[in-house]
Amino acid sequence: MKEFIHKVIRIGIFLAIIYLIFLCIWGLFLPTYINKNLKYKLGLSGYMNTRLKEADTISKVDILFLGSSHTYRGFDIRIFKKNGFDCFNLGSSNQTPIQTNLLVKRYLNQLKPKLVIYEVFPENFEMDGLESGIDIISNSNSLLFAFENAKMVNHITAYNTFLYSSIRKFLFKDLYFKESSKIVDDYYVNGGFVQTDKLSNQSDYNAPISKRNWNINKKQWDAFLETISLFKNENISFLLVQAPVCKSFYYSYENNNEIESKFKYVGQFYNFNNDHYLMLDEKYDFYDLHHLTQTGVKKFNNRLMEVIEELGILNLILNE
Amino acid sequence: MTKIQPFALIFVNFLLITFLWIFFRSDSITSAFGYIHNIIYSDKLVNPFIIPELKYATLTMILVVFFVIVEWSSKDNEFAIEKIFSNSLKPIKVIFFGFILFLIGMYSSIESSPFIYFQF
Repeated sequence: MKEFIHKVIRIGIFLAIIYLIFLCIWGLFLPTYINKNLKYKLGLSGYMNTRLKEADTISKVDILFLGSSHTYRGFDIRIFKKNGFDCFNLGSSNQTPIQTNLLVKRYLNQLKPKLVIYEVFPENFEMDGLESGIDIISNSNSLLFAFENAKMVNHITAYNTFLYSSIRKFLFKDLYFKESSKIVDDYYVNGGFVQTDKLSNQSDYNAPISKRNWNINKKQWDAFLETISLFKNENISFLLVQAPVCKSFYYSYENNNEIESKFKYVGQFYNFNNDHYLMLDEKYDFYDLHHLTQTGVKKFNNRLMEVIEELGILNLILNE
Repeated sequence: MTKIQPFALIFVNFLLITFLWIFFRSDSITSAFGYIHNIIYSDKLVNPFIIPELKYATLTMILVVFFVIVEWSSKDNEFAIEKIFSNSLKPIKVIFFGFILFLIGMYSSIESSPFIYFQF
């Protein structure tokens, strides 16, 4: 029996090594469309590589922003800094509650925010989190954190990407990769914000969109609730916000009210799509159906400052 | 039976099965016939290599050939890889199994949400 177990272990190790060798060959030499279950993407327009490296160096902030691309493209930390608040934007492309939960677990004690502004985009509650997980796995320099992300997403592509990413980080110096400060129309602003040079809406924002519904994924909702519990346990104020999107996009969903009540049940929630004081021009304040241009960001952030004052949250931060 | 005949039969059988799949995978008989119509009357029938998506089919074709060879080499056994490389050195056998394991890991089809930001 002992001999059998030894043999199984030996073969297992040998098979694992062969698997890794083929994974490297495929990843290094074959075109990406051939690598079905391997999606390594070091550096992306979302700047997660730079953001995570910067997050590791920051110790304390007043406001922490969490959420999807609406977050890192929507909350300009410079505007909040002008108002006297140190902020960090930890948003990432397609960030689902699973990734938010892991980011919070990793950075909450380090950043010690007085307020968390958590942008909740229902679409991210529908997804499995693979794309966002891969973004973090590819761009995090912490193997443990990357593995936690792979484990939570629990998809063969996430595991393959984790293995390949780990090998590349140590054998091919991807650990020292530095993202370009400007990628196409985007550039990274210290503190996690990504500013776009796009000036007008490039989508057909007036075109009608067929009716549909948000369908919340239970796994994502559980991760979301766990994150909220973490804030509550640490006594950290938080505000759930829904960022503004084009009207045709927003009203194409028929169960917005149902989703809104779900969020309201969890904590303080503000939906900027129903805010009549936020006057956004769909041609010049958005560059697609749900991302703001810099003029839109300014209007949105100034209105957010007013909202957190109206809700009494601002005093909470100032008095701490 | 000449040596070439079994391969010709495999090829014909493969074509027939592939053709029948059109009916099994289609939403309706009408769409299946529509699909066949497009195959016959499309200019791509003349030269399939001009289809831009051909590169995505390259891998499938390579894998099909690989698995046909594996199946053919073990046609007398109950399972395809039951006795494969049984007379070879152990490391070669383990490398082969490792490769099969890798193919499963790399190409198994597991559902996932569509990627929005990543372009591959």
